Amino acid sequence: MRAIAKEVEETPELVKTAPHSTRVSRLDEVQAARKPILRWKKAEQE
Amino acid sequence: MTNDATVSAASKRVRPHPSQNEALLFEISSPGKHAYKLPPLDVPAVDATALLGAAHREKSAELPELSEIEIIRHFTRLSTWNYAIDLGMYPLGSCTMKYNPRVNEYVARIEGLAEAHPYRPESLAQGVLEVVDLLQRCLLDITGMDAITLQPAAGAHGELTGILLVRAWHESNGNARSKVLIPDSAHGTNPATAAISGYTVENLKSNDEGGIDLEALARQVDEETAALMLTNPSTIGVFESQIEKIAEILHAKGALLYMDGANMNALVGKARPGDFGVDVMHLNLHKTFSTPHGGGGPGSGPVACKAFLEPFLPTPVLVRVEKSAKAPDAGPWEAEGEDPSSADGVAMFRAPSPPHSSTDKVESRNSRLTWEYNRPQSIGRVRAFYGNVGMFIRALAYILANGPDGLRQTTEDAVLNANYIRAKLEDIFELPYKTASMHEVVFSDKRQAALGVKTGDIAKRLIDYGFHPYTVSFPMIVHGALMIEPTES
Repeated sequence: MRAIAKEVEETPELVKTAPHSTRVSRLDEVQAARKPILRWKKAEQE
Repeated sequence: MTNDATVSAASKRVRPHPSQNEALLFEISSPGKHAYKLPPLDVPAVDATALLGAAHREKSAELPELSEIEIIRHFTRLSTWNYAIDLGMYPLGSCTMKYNPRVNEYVARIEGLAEAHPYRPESLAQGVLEVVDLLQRCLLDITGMDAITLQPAAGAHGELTGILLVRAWHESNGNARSKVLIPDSAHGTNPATAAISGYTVENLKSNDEGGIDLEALARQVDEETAALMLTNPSTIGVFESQIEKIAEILHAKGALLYMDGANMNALVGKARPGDFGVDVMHLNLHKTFSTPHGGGGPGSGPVACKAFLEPFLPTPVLVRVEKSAKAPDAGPWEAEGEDPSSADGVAMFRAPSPPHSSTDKVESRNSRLTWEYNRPQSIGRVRAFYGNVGMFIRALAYILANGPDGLRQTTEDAVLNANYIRAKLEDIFELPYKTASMHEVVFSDKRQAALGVKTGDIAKRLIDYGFHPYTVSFPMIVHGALMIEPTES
């Protein structure tokens, strides 16, 4: 937390665009909540 | 040490986050692959169309086709994406994400307990009923309450049960009353519970210390107030030092005090809600008593109450009767004079000796446990069967493994850890409430927000350092909240 607080002062973009180590970074949480895709469909059915 | 070096050193202490790609099972499916091989049919074939009629589907379901090892690898890879309490710190405030000791799992897997079925005749389930009874007595001892139900399957479910008890009691006095008071620092489930129980919700503003404003409370409580739903310690991790006065104000107007026990990890072995005026409360076994949260747990939200609310508890209620007595609502298997549990070797599991009373052992030899259904004032069932029994076993294992001194130590360590984090960070992050912290500490992102970085950004950066984020933007009374609960583990 102390290291992150230092990053906030020196490299705020690094924090604002985190996480950087995950397979997907920032999800569109609003879209995910409003238009959830809960079921797989074959490509031709979409 | 430079900033880069600090980050690098910190990163080396934590695990790298696995980031391999993984397709859906449907996408890696190949026609004709299968994970099993059935032997040739050795019974006459059945015409499925004739048997099922219109229900027989014309086309086979489109299911993925894979070999066994492909399935195993798929789910094993996916499992490595999870963050879990077994991988690292999980400081999610108000959730008490503590370590789940392996002894709990060992005990829960004992054959007679793991295979206990809710339809097993009572006479053959005396061992598991002893476990339920002992857990009930331990929880009553810990909370200082008089009666308990273990039926609710989660904290919010416990809240609903508790407020339905409150409603039933008021109704029995001739007026269900119309409103429930809820502080602005409360869990969101509190107002939802009150609303779904048929009450209007009246907000109670916190004072400058984050506690209940007694004058405001006295103004708002009236003959239409059914209860105050209070979390203690509060969601900013502060103990309500005026709790007895709060109870007095409510009781003077015939209103009840409901305690949300989500933060009980700060009180176990130190203070008992039943001693400071609480009438009804819920516990979260998956928080305070170390049963799992993951995959839905399942959770368990027992509700404990004072004696005057006992007649309204959900049915059935576990009661101890003399061994010769017929069960109040004995099933057909309980033939008169038959008591298989008395035969050596029939009972599948014997509960360990109760921790507090040497006479209990004798009592359990001369008595048996039975579910009582005939309770005319009960609010009825709140869940099928008897609750999440597997969680009862784990919670009891935790309580007995720790003992009274161990549980007290746990509480002290949880509070110490939260204050350690507070002391380490309060020069960097804004601390809006200076009152002494209990089990969790709540900072604000005020200083970082001035530089354009918000609590959600800091939480996401914490993932890069290998930690689960803290609770973000809650409680609502703190702008840009960073809510950190380290627990004792």
